[in-house]
Amino acid sequence: MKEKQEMPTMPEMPEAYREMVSRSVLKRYTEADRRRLGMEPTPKTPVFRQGCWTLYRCGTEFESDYNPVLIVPSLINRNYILDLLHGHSLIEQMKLAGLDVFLLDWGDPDAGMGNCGFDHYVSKWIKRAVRQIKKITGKDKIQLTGQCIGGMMATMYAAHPELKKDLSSLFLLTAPLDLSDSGLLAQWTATEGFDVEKLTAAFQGLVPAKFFHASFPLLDPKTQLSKYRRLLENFEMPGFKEIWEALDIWGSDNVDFTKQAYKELISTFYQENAFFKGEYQVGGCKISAKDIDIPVLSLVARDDHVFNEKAAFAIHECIAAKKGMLDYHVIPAGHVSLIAAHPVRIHTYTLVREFLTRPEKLRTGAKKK
Amino acid sequence: MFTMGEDMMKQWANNWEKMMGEHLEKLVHNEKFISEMSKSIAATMTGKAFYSKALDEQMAAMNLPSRTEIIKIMQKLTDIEERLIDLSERFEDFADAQAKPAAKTAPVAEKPAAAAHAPAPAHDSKAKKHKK
Repeated sequence: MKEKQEMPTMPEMPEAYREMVSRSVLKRYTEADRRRLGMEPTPKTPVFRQGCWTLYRCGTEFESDYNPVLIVPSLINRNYILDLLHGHSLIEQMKLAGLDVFLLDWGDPDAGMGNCGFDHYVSKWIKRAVRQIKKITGKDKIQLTGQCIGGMMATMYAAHPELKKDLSSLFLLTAPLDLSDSGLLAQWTATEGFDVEKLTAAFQGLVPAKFFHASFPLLDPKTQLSKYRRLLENFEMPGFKEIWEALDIWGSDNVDFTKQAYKELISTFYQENAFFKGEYQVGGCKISAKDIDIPVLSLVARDDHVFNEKAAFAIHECIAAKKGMLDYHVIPAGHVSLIAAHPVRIHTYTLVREFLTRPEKLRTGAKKK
Repeated sequence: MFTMGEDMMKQWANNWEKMMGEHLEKLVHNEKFISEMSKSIAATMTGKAFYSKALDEQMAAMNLPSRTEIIKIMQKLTDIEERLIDLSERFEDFADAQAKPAAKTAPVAEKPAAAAHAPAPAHDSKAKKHKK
């Protein structure tokens, strides 16, 4: 009997844990799971729609003393990472600060949009969203916010000599600019034999999400391996399993890429680093991130597994930085945890609120960090 | 609370996780491995593209529209929608530019009437609740 007790046995797992792991492994999430968790707590009203993308106005109170905020999310995942759960929502914090917030939802592109690259997204669709916001609010200037690849697109907008006239400030959240040595993804795309034309030859119009997302867990294999162990260890911690599951739902809810945008991301931005070199054209005009001359807040995740800090640090080369109009902060968290999960998100929210509600007069000569 | 047996199991799992993690880390940083993987995927995709082309030819032989042709039509529809919205925006700008001088010269009492004739936002009514 004594010998039997010393035999290795699996630790006792709660039934709820097993169910969560099962849902996660099989990616069997439904709308009911999202409702149960209370995901996307901020109400949103659609104000403009074209093709697959929609512009939403967030909240129910729109009166604001500040210029409206337009959030450009990433193309790779859904935008609700910015409004994940109550208390874990950047949009909720922006609304609490009295801002009028608009959110782009890129939706699910169809194969007919296959020729739409980054130029089209920026010079047509973001421009159109800005136009609609100006019409709705009656304000001349917008505070543009971009997350991840959305941050790269927001930077392109702010760097364009004509488009930038619509903006009063730029807020970048984990946005890569210089992709030359930006981490593992850059290393992979620079490898001999990584031919984007051949890789996408079989796809018509769209590059399926499952094709490029298959490689994402390999960006941080250790975290992937410890995922379910961490859930078990923290299962009884208040709020942990809810945020764990909400992040897992978001992480498994991927979006197809238009073929042109995918090819540009890999060959033009990663392999040639054309945007940072000032060789990429938006609306027929060569743009460079170095030309940005409006106040900028750049928040970077120290433990980002998608892009390293160097990719975002490049913002220091812009005119705004030289004029002292750049707020740059490195947050000790991961690519999404800095806004959604880690306790440090409270610090992130404070920085964002302070920047977006800062009076115009105080915007020049912002503190560097 | 873990028992002694469970502690052993936990230790074993931790060791496995550490070993696998280190192994995978080395693998994903190995240029030769990534290069071979890329070449292998590229070869598969080239094969898939060849198969798709053959399928398109078969559809054409049967006088049926192929996926490629349907996508071309979808692309044209996207272009047409883009042009339509461009045009409606230009029209709105033109109407606004016309309305502004008229509003300036018109007597104060007539201003609301002029505003009532201004075109309604072209696409606000089109907006629908987007379901994911």
